[in-house]
Amino acid sequence: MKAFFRKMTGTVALVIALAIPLTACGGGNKDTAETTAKTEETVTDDTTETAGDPSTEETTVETATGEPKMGGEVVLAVAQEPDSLDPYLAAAAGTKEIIYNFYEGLVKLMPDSTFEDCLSTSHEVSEDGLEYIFQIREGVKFHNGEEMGPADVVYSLRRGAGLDSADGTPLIGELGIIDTIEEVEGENAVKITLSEPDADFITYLTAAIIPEGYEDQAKQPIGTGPFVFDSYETQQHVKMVRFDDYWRERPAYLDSVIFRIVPSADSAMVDLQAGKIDIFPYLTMDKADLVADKYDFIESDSNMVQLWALNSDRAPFDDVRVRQAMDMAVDKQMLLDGITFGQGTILESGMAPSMGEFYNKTVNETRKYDPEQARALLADAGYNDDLTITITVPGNYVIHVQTAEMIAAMLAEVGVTADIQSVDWGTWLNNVYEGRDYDSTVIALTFDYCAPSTVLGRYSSTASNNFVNFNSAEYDSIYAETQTEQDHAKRVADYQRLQDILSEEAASVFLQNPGVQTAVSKELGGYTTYPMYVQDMYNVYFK
Amino acid sequence: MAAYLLRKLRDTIFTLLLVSVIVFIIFALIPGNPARIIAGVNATPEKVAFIEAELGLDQPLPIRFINYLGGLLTGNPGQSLRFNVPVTDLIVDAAPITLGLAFYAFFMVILLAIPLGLIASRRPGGVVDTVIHVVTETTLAIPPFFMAIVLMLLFRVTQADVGGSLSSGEILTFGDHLKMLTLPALAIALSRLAMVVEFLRDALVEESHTDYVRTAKGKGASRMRIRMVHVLRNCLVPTITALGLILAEIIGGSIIIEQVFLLPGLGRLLFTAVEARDFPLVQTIIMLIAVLVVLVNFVVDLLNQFIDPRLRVVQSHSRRHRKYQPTVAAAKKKGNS
Repeated sequence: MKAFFRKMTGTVALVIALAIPLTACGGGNKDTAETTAKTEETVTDDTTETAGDPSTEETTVETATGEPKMGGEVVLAVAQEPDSLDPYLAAAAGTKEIIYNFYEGLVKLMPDSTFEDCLSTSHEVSEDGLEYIFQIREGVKFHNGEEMGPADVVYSLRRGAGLDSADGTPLIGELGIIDTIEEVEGENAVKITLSEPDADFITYLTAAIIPEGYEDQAKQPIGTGPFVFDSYETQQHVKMVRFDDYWRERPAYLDSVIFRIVPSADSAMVDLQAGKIDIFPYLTMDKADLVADKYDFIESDSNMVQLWALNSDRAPFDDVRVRQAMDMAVDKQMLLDGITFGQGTILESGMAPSMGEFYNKTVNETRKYDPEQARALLADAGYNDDLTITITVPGNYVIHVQTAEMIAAMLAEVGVTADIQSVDWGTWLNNVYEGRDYDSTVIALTFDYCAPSTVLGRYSSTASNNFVNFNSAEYDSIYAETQTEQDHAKRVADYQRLQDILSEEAASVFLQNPGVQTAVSKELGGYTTYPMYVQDMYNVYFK
Repeated sequence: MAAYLLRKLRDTIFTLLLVSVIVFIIFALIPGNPARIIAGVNATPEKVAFIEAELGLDQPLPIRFINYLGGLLTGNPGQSLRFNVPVTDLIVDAAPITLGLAFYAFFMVILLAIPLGLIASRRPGGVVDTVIHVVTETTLAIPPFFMAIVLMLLFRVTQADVGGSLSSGEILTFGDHLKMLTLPALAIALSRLAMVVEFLRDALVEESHTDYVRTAKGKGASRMRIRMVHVLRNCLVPTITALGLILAEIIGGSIIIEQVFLLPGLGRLLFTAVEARDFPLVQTIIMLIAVLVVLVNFVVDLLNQFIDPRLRVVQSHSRRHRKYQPTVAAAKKKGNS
């Protein structure tokens, strides 16, 4: 209440002094001061940059990249309020991309979709794929100054796997297959035993290692990452500062990072144009021109899959011919050009190229667009220009609404009438995603882990997230096999086959892997992208 | 007076209860699970169930509603589901912006309406009167959000200059307020100006034909003195009633204008809360707005009774009361022009 009054005093004073002419709007002093400070920081580099001669390639590259400088504060815009700062309770992708900077796991996902030891120095997997032994890295400190050790690893993963909770529900579902986890006697190591083999298990060990017995993660997160939590103000920002005792050869370049919570992409654009944001990860290309003078655009390698999901439990989509006809009626190239301005990859199946060797190149590069054949298939299924379907779209995602509109126009070409129904996000989640009460919808799927099973598991008939109700016996049996398959080459082949099936049976109409553009201030260097929704600030620096 | 206050209090409580029941019914009807909205698409059903339990959503909505009302009686509207902090904290952060904006706009109306009303009533039907009439009616016809956009273009101000980079809960100085709220307040004030100007002008015109004005003239009082001392005071009752009516509208209007200027007030909070199906937060914001509106009307009542003892009796017989009907006022205006 005190704070309330303190804040109100400004208003009251204002009201009293209203007689002052109303001319005081426009440029405030605070902003000018900020901009000046920033310009000063970079003024030395600016001169060399403009002097750079394109013919001497090596020097140009050097000046363009700029020598990493210590210090500075970077402001990122994020669209979502964090849910919980506790890495085991956080569920929203928007939270994970922030807290990524506080926490590290035994392994780290690299930009090329591989995994590297992080808080472990090496690891071994037993023949049967059931036992993992991790050598724990020494000399790693938590943000509270304590040394990280095997006990913390055991504590963290037990917590994630739900081994310590009353009802045994894992906080991270994927860790549920952990049977036991214990310190290896006499060694600085940890042994994990699984109840069943899971070839993707290593990918889940990016899970955060937190100090044993520390209960206050949600309020005051403590991890081993390059940045230390400073403050979180609801609806404003999460602020973090450099961790000077970071274990790698150097601490982060930046003094501090602010993740500013913006209410909408529109307001983020406003801030971008005013130069108040240094990094904005969700830029759509149509807006890029507006800010091209101050920002570079970096295409992130997302593993996102945009699809026109068809509900296989509902007529007419319970008929595979109708689904195939839909697949042939949609001109995906036109969607790519019209919706994401060519920044993306056309998909014909359910996996994005960033999944590396698991991605089935052949199936995805075979175009199916064929309106004539679509008409024939529809006629074969008994529909002659008299099919009406509904596309339910989440209205808060402009890209999906626009996609649905273009699809509706394409369907008209093959004699199908599509009604577009726009619903709000909460309704979409409730009715479409969880209730599966819909004909078709347009959505982009993202994945919490860079693991093929996370991407393709949802099409197995019994999966709780199989919201398209895809049902194929062949798919189910191959998928079940891959889960325990230890032979890597066989696994890759199996996952490729699964993508063939999705495409052949038109589980849905897969549209594209939309390119995610990040606007990064020209003053910054070192921005790294991952095939995951994270914002890694460790390598970012002011030139 | 005690009986009057009691009656008012009873009405207020009834109004608030009704408002909260309406919000409750709407929530019971619209689909959406706050836990799923927080957890996102990828969360497993177990995770969603875990969050539900954490938030106390495993209880049915009617139970939660009753608990909420119970909490409210003890002054604690509970935790926000989306932000996981006490609802009161969020409102304390956001309310100064909305209330500041509303009161700023309100005083702007007063500041503009009194001189305009005085000028317009000098020569009823004259050029100045007509111009003022046309201009205020035009600003009345323009929706505030559109007015806001026009003003931004006119003053070459972008959203960034106003609220774009502002977050709720920031400690603001007087200068910040002036810088941020002037244009939004003006956008609201312009659209609400017409009614007050008309009420005041009509009252002034009518009063200037009364006997006491003639008497005052006869006694040799200056025109200025008659208008400012005698007539203006007698015109306060309809003006205050009009101001009371628009203040409630202004509070509502601020919520929309906030979206245009990206001000982090109650409007933005309410919007987010509805999207997230944050039941306690939505309930509390709406209740707060309802309380404010009821309170404003109550203060207007009291003020009028204080200024004009005649109003302490039943109003419906008062000749003046008829004039409060905007339709009558409008019809009369047509006749004038």
